[in-house]
Amino acid sequence: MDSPGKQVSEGDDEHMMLLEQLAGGDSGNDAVEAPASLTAPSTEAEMEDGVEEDEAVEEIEEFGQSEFGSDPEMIKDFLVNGDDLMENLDEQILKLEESPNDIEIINEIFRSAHTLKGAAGMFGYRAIERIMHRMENYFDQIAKGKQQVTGDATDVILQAMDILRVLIDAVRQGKPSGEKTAPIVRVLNQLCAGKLKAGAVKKKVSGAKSEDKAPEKAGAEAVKKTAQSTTIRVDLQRLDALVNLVGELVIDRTRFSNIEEQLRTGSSVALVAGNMSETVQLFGRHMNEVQDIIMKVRMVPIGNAFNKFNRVVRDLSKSLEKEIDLIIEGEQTELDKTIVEQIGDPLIHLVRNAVDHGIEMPEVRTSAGKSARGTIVLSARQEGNQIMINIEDDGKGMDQEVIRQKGIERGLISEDDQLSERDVFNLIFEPGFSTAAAVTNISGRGVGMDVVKKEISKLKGVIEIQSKLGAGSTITIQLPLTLAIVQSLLVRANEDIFAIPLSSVIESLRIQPDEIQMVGDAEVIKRRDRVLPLLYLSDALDLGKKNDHVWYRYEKESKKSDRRKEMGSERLFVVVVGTADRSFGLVVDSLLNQQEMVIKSMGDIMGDINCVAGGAILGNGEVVLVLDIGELEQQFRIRSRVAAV
Amino acid sequence: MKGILEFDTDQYDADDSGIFAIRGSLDGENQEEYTEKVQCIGLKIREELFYLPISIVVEIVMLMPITYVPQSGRSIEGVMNLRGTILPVVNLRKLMGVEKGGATPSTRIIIAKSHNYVVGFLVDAITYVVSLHPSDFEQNSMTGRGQGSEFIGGIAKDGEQIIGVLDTLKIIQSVAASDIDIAQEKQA
Repeated sequence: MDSPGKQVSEGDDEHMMLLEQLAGGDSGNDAVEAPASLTAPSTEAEMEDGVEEDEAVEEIEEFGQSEFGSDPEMIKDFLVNGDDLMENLDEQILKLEESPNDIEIINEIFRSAHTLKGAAGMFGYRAIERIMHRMENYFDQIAKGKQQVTGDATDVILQAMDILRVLIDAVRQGKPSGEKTAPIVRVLNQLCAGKLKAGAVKKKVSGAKSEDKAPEKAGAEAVKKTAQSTTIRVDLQRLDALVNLVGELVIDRTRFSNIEEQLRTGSSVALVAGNMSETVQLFGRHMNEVQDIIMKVRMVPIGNAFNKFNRVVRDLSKSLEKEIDLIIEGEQTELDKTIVEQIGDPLIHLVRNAVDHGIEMPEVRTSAGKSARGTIVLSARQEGNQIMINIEDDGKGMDQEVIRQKGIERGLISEDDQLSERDVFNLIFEPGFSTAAAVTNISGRGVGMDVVKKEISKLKGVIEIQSKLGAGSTITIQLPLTLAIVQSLLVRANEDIFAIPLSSVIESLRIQPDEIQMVGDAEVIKRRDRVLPLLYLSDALDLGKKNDHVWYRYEKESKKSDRRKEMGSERLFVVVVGTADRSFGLVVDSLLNQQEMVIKSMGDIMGDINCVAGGAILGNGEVVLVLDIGELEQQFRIRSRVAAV
Repeated sequence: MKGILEFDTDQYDADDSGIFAIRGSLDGENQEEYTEKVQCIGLKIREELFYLPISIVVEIVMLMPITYVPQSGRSIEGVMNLRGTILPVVNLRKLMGVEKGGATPSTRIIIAKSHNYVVGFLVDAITYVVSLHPSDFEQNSMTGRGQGSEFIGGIAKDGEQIIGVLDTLKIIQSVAASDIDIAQEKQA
């Protein structure tokens, strides 16, 4: 096996061989024989799969020598570009499968593949270069009309993409992955030779990937791995606008120094005051614009997170033998970069669920009078300060009764609990809850939905399920546009000031104490014919302990708060918080004002304080605590449960 | 007698120990080699004097508004804003088990930094900076003598007076909400 093997390992000879074969059609016997004789070592490689860094004859070193390879800046550039190119390739390859004759797509793929190959070659990443080279050959043949795009061929290409991702990741880690590239190269060779046999794909390539890494998993992993980058691409227009604004700010600064000079030289108060208010206003406007743009700089289209799902759905539906269309809408919706990066994992889980549990098998669908092809719609849109992400499937939906029974079985609810539809579906988010009768390798292990919910709440988002048996389910995720700046309502309770994120405030009321009614031990008020339970903020946070706790008090000059306390003593302020149909009233001493603030972490030493999302700094330099309404609501529910017992 | 010196340089980021210019030790003998010396800042908890190695002190500020954090650790007075950074403030009286006291004109907050954890210490007064010779130190011999003794990393002798040297790391570890694995972070 010495001569053909060596030829294959040396990229360019092999390329020549291919060219020869292209010229001579199928008569080029050498070329046809070469891959065939190589299938024997392939099984050998499979047997030794557990051994990393196997020095088979066909394997080449991942990292060769290169003068660029030692420059971390250059490598960073390579990685950023590489990620982009890979993403583009993935997208285009899937598109090509749908419309195989679109020359534009083929050219696009060809360009991306060529660029990546060139870059990899320059850095001496030979394994990447070798695979990319074979892929390029294949697409070259397609472009020339010598081959047709088939599902199996696309499978091979996608497998190659997965391996490329592993290799690129190895570059990121700075050490070879030990991934075997020879088997996939062999399969690619066969593909180029037009000798790929149907059905042979999976078996051949499995030498490169161990069995438990089924294609769907690899796709998901790929999405996960690309989700952490530290650089961001900014639209030049936005940057220019920012530069302009900085210019304006510099002018504002000189205006302020003018005013300072006027003050020192004793200009008339009226004049200075007039100048001052004008300048402050102007400065305020510019500052707002700067803030706006900076926030926009952090925004990226959510499409970055969405487009990967084409691949996930394709692989999954293939392995489950379901027919599914994925429709993506609103990929241009912009969202804070950190959110886009972190939303990927929970979304994958939800999409997998939709494919695995939601959409039925084609025969089931047709017998239920639906079209054999299922549809999953993944959409995003902006609503005010929120982004709504929907995952909608037209599958079998969820059976409320089954979920209820499971809930009773798990002791989450009792037999005679009256639950609303919403409450029932919310049970799914409880830890360890799964309705899947059989555990599949994709989903149904009962870990997941609670993690999904946790991840979403970490992003200050809300998740909800609507489902109709037989008609499908819709999962709605509501996310804030950005995590950095939050509009908040400042309230005072027990002489301390707290901030409530405005996104969870529904309204605020002023009530008389006699409007409070008792239901059991719980205090409630009636609001528009609905009962609104009340929670005293000072009770929830145990603010009464403050006097014991705080020894050193900073004396403030004004005694205004006392006066206000007396004034407001006969009235109560209630901030209605929560979501529209699950709200409660937070009783506070007074409402102050509404303000934009930057939530800051209080550091590792403080850790997670219950019901507190973080701290923010007020205009006077004092720290206020920003409340975590979600945690308050949980605490509230625990309290009311205790009260009910 | 290297004990306390080792404790000082190994456990703290001894990066900027030269902030204060020291002109000799307190009793006027000024012809010694300063390089061997350990500088400490004197602070008072109630009336008792303690030393804190100066290498971990970032700055000392007047008492400023401290925001009470409900359900936080017992010895944490609250959080304060130091030029845009929110950091916890530790009530040393409470930590050492000294009776309750309030703010006085001499109350100060010492901002200390150890292993990238920044924390404020509420103290009742600041005295002076001392420059101590390694032979003035003795390793801790006070283990298990009442509340707060675990936070004293060593003892310094100043003439006849014996003064406890506070161990910032131990204080931070004890007030932290969750276990901070400092050893691991040092490696990283």
